[in-house]
Amino acid sequence: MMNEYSIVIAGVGGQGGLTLSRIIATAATLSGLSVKTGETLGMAQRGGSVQSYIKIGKKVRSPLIRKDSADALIGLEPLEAVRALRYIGPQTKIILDPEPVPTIFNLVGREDYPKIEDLLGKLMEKTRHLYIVQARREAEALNSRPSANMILLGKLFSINAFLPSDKIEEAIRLVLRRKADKAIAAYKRGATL
Amino acid sequence: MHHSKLVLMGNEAIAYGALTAGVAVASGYPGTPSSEVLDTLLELIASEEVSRPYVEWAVNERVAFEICLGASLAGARSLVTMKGPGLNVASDPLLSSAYSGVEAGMLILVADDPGPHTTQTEQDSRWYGELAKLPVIEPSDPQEAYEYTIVGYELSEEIKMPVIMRTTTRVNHTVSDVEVREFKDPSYTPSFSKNPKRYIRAVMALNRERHGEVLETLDSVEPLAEKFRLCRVEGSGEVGIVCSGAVYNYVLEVLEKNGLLYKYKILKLGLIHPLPRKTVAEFLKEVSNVIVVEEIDPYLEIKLKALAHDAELDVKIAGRQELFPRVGELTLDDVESVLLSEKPNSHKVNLPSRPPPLCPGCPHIGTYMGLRMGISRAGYRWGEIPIMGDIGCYALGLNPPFEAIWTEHSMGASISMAMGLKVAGYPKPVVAVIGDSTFYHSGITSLIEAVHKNVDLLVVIMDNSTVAMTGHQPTPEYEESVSGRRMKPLSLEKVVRGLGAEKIVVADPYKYKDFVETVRELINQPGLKVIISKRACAILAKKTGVGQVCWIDPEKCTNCLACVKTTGCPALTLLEKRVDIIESECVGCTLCMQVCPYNAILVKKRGEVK
Repeated sequence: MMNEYSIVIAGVGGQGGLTLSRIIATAATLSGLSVKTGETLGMAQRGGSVQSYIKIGKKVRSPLIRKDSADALIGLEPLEAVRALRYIGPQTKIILDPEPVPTIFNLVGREDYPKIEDLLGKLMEKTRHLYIVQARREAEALNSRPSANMILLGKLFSINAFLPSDKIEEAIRLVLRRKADKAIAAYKRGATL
Repeated sequence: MHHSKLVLMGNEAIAYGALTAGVAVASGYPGTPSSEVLDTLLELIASEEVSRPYVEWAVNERVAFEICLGASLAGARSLVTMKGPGLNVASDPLLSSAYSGVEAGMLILVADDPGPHTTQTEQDSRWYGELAKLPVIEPSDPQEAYEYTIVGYELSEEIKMPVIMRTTTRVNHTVSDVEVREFKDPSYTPSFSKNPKRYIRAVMALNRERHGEVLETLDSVEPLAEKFRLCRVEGSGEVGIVCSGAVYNYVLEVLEKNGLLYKYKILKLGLIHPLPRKTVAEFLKEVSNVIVVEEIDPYLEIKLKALAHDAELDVKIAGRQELFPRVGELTLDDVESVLLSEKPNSHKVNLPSRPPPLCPGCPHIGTYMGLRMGISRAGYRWGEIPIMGDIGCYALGLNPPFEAIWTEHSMGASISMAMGLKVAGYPKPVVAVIGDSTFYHSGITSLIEAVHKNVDLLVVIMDNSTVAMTGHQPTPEYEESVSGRRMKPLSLEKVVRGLGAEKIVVADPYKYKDFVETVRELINQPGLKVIISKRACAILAKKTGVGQVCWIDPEKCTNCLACVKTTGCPALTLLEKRVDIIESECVGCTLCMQVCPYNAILVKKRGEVK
């Protein structure tokens, strides 16, 4: 593992970004590392933009991430991934579910959702490491819609094993308890995609 | 002593710290980013085999504060928690509490929200230390939040005064590895006795005398900062940095990343009030320039400048007023560009915003739909009648498709500000909307005023039977607490009637036509009218199980989007520009079905294939 590893998770409230960050933080602690996470959420519990930051290392100071410096971006939604653009640099691995969640302005016909090609283009201007994973569709195929976050984590882990794999599974069990089996299945599925 | 390493959010660490310190009474009112402290305490006492402290949410911050003050006078260690504006509500008892002092330790946790992410103002509660003449401590991360909670009690008991612990979102909501020690049994040594000089504020000469004693006590705090290791100096460079709270870690990180630690000397203040003058003066003497890094107001900056002036020190001090952005939360990049003297490069991307919508099947959707159509049926345009809002999820009615509320000001203000419009002579009907918990918190006194003065007003109390926005804390209608305590549930209708309101209609926001008719009928009537819009929060209802859901019959649907545009329900989505219902999101409220002009929306059992 490198000196420090930083992950941004960007999504919509209710997509499981905060749970994901808690699992990674727990796995880091189980691995004997220092960790800090932070979050930026809107007013409500679900439906608004949510960003989480996770930093893992020997001695992590702050939960925030400097511009252009994230090692990974887990994008649970494409518009929200682009909202996290400031953290992306040439080294950033982006794991993205490209399926849009329309905003309320889109739904009531006030504005159009951006063209998906434009959103992907913005991400690719900053890094060439863009991995597209149809996480929600895959999760639905596993009959476990809330596990899309775990599929993306599995994919990221298959590219960058930033922690010991058994610690991630142990952390999933600790955080999700009864729901852990489905999540671990999704996490393993993600690694194969 | 038994130690263990856990993964804790700052607020969870504060709860662990309180139990390690043997807290005996804890109360508060929910408010982001403070709510998880009491939520965690409740979960811990429900699960741990420990002698249980009293932990319960209170009806508002001021009541919570007074419960804890009373407990600490009685000899029990107490903890009261709130967000920044909550301390404004509790400021009356707060300002007298230095005069009364305490017997056992009292810790006042106030969580500020630079940004702001979830708060009506970017309030800097550090000023309350000066105003209330109480010590203020500020931790910089979850581990320190744990330690300072324990130290806070020791400091409080040493000086027999409550101690304010001020945190910010980046401490409250940061998760990190935290070392915790064993919990202690609740600390309670009966101690309350008559002491008029301390406890009665009705004798002015005594108040003046007590004021002097309070100031003397504050003077004794500085040496204690050393004893409790609340301040430290690091590094040996010629440029000074003074900081406190979460930003201390930004400073260290930026200096470490850029190999600049040698260049700077850092004073990290854990005690913010009273300012440890000797420590600060010594620090200022050893550096030529000082950069003050702090969140929200230039609080330390102003204090340091005054101190340097008084001590005739030749040191240049700069901070929030000239170096940093004057508003908003500081980022690592802000701190880096100041410490590296670089120009900040702007990273703005213009993207469509994503305001949080009301949840699928939220009863507030039904209330706003009913208000909109009822007002229209009464002969007014939507947007012609002021709807005075209040604090809670229903404030999201500011967004499309409703754009309903005209104001959202402070807890309970909907009713009293609406009354202000009417007594000023506002010529049209006025509506106030307020949630049940906000009503109990502060709206209740506003309603008494409006009833008593017989104001022409339509008040809609949206009763979803919970404090939804902050994570479903209990209202006074709960029968049982998470702690297991049996409670006496109040009835909102009886309370409102008991306050003297006479025209009260209890309406179901899921019954669209009836609700519209109720609004139409009441809006033009003279006097004070109350609609209690009663329906449980959809998130809670979903947890107990959803039997029926709605589905769209593609044969009948013309894709007119009336359902989407009327309800704005997030369970409705557009797939390839065609409307559909996400079954897993739908709670079967049928509001969309009730407004579909083509009867294309139907009900089915969950999971049933159509």
